[in-house]
Order: sequence, then structure tokens, then C-alpha cells
Amino acid sequence: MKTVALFYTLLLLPAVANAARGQDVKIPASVERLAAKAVETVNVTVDGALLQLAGKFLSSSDPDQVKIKTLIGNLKGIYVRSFEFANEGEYSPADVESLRSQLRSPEWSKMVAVSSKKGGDNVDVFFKMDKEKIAGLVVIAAEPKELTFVNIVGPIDLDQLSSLGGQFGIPKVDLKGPQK
Amino acid sequence: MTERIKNLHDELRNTLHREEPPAGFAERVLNRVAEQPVAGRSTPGPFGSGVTGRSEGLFIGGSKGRADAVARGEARFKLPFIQWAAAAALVAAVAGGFEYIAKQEQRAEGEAARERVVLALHIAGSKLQLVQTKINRLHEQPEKNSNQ
Repeated sequence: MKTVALFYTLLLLPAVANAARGQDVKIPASVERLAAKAVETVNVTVDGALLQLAGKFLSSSDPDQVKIKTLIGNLKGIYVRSFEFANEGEYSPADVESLRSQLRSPEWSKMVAVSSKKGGDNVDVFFKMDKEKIAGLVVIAAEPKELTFVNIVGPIDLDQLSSLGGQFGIPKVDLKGPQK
Repeated sequence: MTERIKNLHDELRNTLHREEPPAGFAERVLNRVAEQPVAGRSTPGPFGSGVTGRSEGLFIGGSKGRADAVARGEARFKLPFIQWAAAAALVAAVAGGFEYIAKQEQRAEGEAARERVVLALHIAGSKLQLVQTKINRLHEQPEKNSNQ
């Protein structure tokens, strides 16, 4: 029986390794465990095949849906974990650090880091560059009662992402910086 | 007594004596058999003429029963077509049903995936907007200070 279990484990290892390779920033188990403490949890994992399927169900005639379709067309995966807590201090700085530490490799660049001592908000935006093109985006938003991790894997066009603002409830974002 | 028996014997012999058929009787019988319609005589059944041919000599006069049997055979021969058509229709209906269910499941899965993508983009967008708002505030702050 143990031999059979070992055989199946060995058989599944490459598949697990491939899945892990798709999402190069792993969500640590300590972060996943925060769901038990949170009053509201959002867990979105949409990778390869599901993204393709989602793309098929977006209309080709509706211009708004066409934008999303184009945006997700080349993506490899979208991973979101968002935890909302009833009280402050429900997650530890170590939980945030376990995510940030994975983004210290040379391929990742911290583009924006906003920290507010008054509000206690800390938002970091990381980009992964590949041949002068954005190949991935990670947002870590650590707020007093909320921790959010967003990982978009694959080539992402920021203009397209900002053009989605106001559609499907997606907030309008001006990623080009403030107008003077 | 013996006289009475002898008379009775003679009477029986006169009554039951062999009579020759009229001339041409055998030919007339054969001609009438030949004139009978084919369906009434010996139609080859679904198993070929061998089976019916074997019984030809037995049923010269009783061909109606055989005709009914042949008709039943023909009905038996036609029935499978109806059965096959019904079976094919049933298989097509079942296959169509399965395909419809599979399409519905795929549609539900696709719509759920679409909703998840939109939700993920909404969360990503809202957090980027938070960054944007904070950057805008930082830019507004020096302007206010310089105006004062």
C-alpha cells in the first residue's frame, strides 16, 4: 500500500512542480491560514485553461468585454488573496514579509511603495520585467484590517488595465501618474 | 343367415369397387395446381426456398395457413427497421441530452471563470487606485505648502 502511495506521489510530483512554476510567487501556508481568522476572504485562482475558458465567455462584440478579453489573452494566471479582519493586528508583519521576501530577486522591481504612518496603510507594487516588457505584476496591500495579495502572471499591458476603469465595477486607475 | 351374409357381401363389393378416373383427370389436377397464385402456393421465405420447398408436397390444398406464416415472416422482417429507427432516435436523444448537459456545465464553468477574472481585476484595480490616491495626495501636499 505504501509503495502504491509512493508511486502516485512520484507520479504527481511533476504536475505539482509545473503548477508551482506557473505561479512563481507562492502564497505561504501561514498566509493561507489567515482565512480562518478573517471575516471575509476572497480567494481567486484563475490559471491557463480557466483563463482561456473565461476569455471564450467574454463577448467579442461588446467593446468593454473585448478589452478584458485582450488583456487576459496572453496572461498565464491571476491569483488573488484578500482577507478582511474584524480587528486590527489579526495578521503579523511576518505574514507580509513572507510575501515580500519572494520579490527581492533581480527579476522583480518594486515600482511603487506607499506607506502611511497615519492610516497604517502599506501598499507595494512590483513588476517583473522580461525584455523591457512587463511579464508580471504583484500588489501587496497591507492595511490595518485588510491584507490583499494580487499576482498577475504574464505579459500585462498597463494601458489596457487602466482602460478597464469603470467597467464591470473595476475602479478607474491612472497608472501614468498625476496630471500636472 | 348365410344367404343374408352373402347378399351383404355382394352389395358391399358393388359399392366399393375400384373405378378408373375419367380421361385427363390427372392433367386437369396438375393444371389447376399450376394456375394457383404464387402467394397462395410457395413463396420463398426469409430462409430461402429450401424450407418451403420441403413442405410443398404436404400442403397442396392448405396454402392459406402458409400464406399467413409468410406474411408474419414479412412483418418480422419489417419490424427490426422500426426497432432500429426507434433505437437510433433514442441513442440520438440520449447523446444530445448528454451533450446539452456537458455544454451547460462548460458554460457555467466559463461564466464562473469570467466572474472570477473580473473580480480579480476589480481587486487589483482597487488596490492600484489606492496607490494612485496616495500618490496624488503626496503631490497635492507640496503644492498646498508652496501656496501658503
